[in-house]
Amino acid sequence: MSDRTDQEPTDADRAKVLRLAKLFDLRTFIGSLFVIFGVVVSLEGATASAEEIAKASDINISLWSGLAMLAVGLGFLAWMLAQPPVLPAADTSMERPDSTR
Amino acid sequence: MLLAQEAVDLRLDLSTWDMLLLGTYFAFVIGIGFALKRAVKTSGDFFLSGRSLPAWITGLAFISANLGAVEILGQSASAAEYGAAVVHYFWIGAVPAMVFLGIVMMPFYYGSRVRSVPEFMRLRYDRKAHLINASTFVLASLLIAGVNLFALATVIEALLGLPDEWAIVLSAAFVLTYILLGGLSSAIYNEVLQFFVILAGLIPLVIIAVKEVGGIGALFDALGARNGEAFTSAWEGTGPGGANAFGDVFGIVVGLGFCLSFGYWTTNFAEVQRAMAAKSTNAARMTPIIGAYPKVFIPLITILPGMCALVLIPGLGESGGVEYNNAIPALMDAYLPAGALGVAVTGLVAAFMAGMAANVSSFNAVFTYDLWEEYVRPGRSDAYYLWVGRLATVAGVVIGIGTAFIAANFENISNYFQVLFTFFNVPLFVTFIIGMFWKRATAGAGFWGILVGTLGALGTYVFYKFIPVLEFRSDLHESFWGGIVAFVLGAATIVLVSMRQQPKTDDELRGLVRGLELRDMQEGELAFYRRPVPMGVGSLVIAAALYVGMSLL
Repeated sequence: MSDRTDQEPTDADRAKVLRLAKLFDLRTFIGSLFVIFGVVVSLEGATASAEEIAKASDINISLWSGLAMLAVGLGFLAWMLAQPPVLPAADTSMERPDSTR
Repeated sequence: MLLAQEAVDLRLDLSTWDMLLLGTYFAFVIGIGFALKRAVKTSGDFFLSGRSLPAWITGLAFISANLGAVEILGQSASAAEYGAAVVHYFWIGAVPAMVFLGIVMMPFYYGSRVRSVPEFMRLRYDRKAHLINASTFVLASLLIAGVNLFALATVIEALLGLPDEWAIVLSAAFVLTYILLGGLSSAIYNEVLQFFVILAGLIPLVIIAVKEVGGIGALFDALGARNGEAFTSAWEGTGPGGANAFGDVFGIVVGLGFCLSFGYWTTNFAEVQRAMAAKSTNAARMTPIIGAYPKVFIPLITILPGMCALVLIPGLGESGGVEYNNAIPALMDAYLPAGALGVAVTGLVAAFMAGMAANVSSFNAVFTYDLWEEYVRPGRSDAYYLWVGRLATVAGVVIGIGTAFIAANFENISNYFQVLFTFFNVPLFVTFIIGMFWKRATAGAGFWGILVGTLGALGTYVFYKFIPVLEFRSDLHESFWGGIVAFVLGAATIVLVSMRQQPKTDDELRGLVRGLELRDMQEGELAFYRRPVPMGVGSLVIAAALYVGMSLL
């Protein structure tokens, strides 16, 4: 949301707003958290001792769940890039006639 | 005793990387608050997200707001105590009510453009009904926020060995910060994030637990042999004289499936607020229906591990053993290695914050719009109410910490909730539903309906617990019948009072009653997966199919 001015927004302004909108899109948050979690947890799984794998019913659960989280995270990021957030047409979008009495 | 020893071992097991996961999560939570801060310019942005969110976000937040640590630990505890019949809470006790809310009631809530559920009560009935609704909601929110804090404290204390006072204050401070910054949007965004982290934490645990017990079929066989057939069946023993702890068929279907569940899901502003934040009437109607799909499968990550724990954790629920409420933490301790454990601990902490944040973000809206603006300081500027809302948020969190101690005195948190819901929600539901569909209901009838209905529920409880006149199979069974009593008495009172009073005019009722709707529905043009009716029916079909599937196990 840029400052409200009477001037027409330039293309550079629009590009900047869109970049911010992408950065602050919920899918970016979910995607990047899951990529970080996925990498850390699958690394923990890859270096797990035999004892730890035996603890989890002989499944290397950290490796598998880490890889699954990585895939989910990349999926969210891909979704965000494929369908970027739509910017409001004008910056009057927050005003609503019925939001105050 | 046992758990205390295990907790010491576990603390050593939580690797530095696992702590890093938890820390990363907290950083994201606060990051969302800062990112959304720029979007909060009016009270409407703070309390209702500027009514701008897409349905998938509000739908997942709708379900996540009800997937707090209390629900996860409480439902798995109930599963270990009562058995498979706990699925009733989901398949008959939630999904039909959520579909009903989306299809039938949301056009009135969203279409009338009210800012809260109590505000609808004020416009449809009068200030007396409004005051009783707003103030009971505010009190219940604070209590439930406290219950969530208490649940978190038990988890953190058991798993991390951090003193519970610290855990409470630290986590409450995070919730406070992100709601203060980003308002409802912040709460909703975090709820969706939490939803996925909770799944990532619990699904691996369930996979391991089910493998350890030799599959779901073997689990049901073992528990059936050990605790009786009714324990592994949803409907067995629900006939007259049966032993199913949930009680009789009528109590389950009408008491839980209609009165209690409709009372909870359709009047609870903490839930309805998520739908009110949606960007259109259709998105608002889709909100609970999108939520119904994950809701159908939540038993797999709550009830299933609870039942597995009964086999896998020796002495669960017995004196000197692990408490039922710690069934999931005990499984995590026994089976999760580094990495998966870090995600699961983060998931439980996330679940706590979801529950707490939902209560705080709905509490501050009702306090500001319905109590402060309506009764204390009306007619001030929007900036003033935004400021009041922020102060109310701080006060709500502080009082929540205080009420955590009240929660500590109740053994089974789920039962405690049920008792609360019977008293407050069912009379409110009957008042709303009659108000939406019967134009003749008068301004004064709402207050009397709520009062008499609540007294009915309270009376049933008192005559069961303290003056043993009525007999029920369990506290749950009592709560279902208390709900039925509250519904019938409330409805009868509203009709009787309305008959003796002057009805409201059509102008006063515009947007609030069937036949005087303001909405314009263009559902026919949308793809089927964006339409409430086919999607709602689809979730009901899945719930019914799961009942059938479970009876075949």
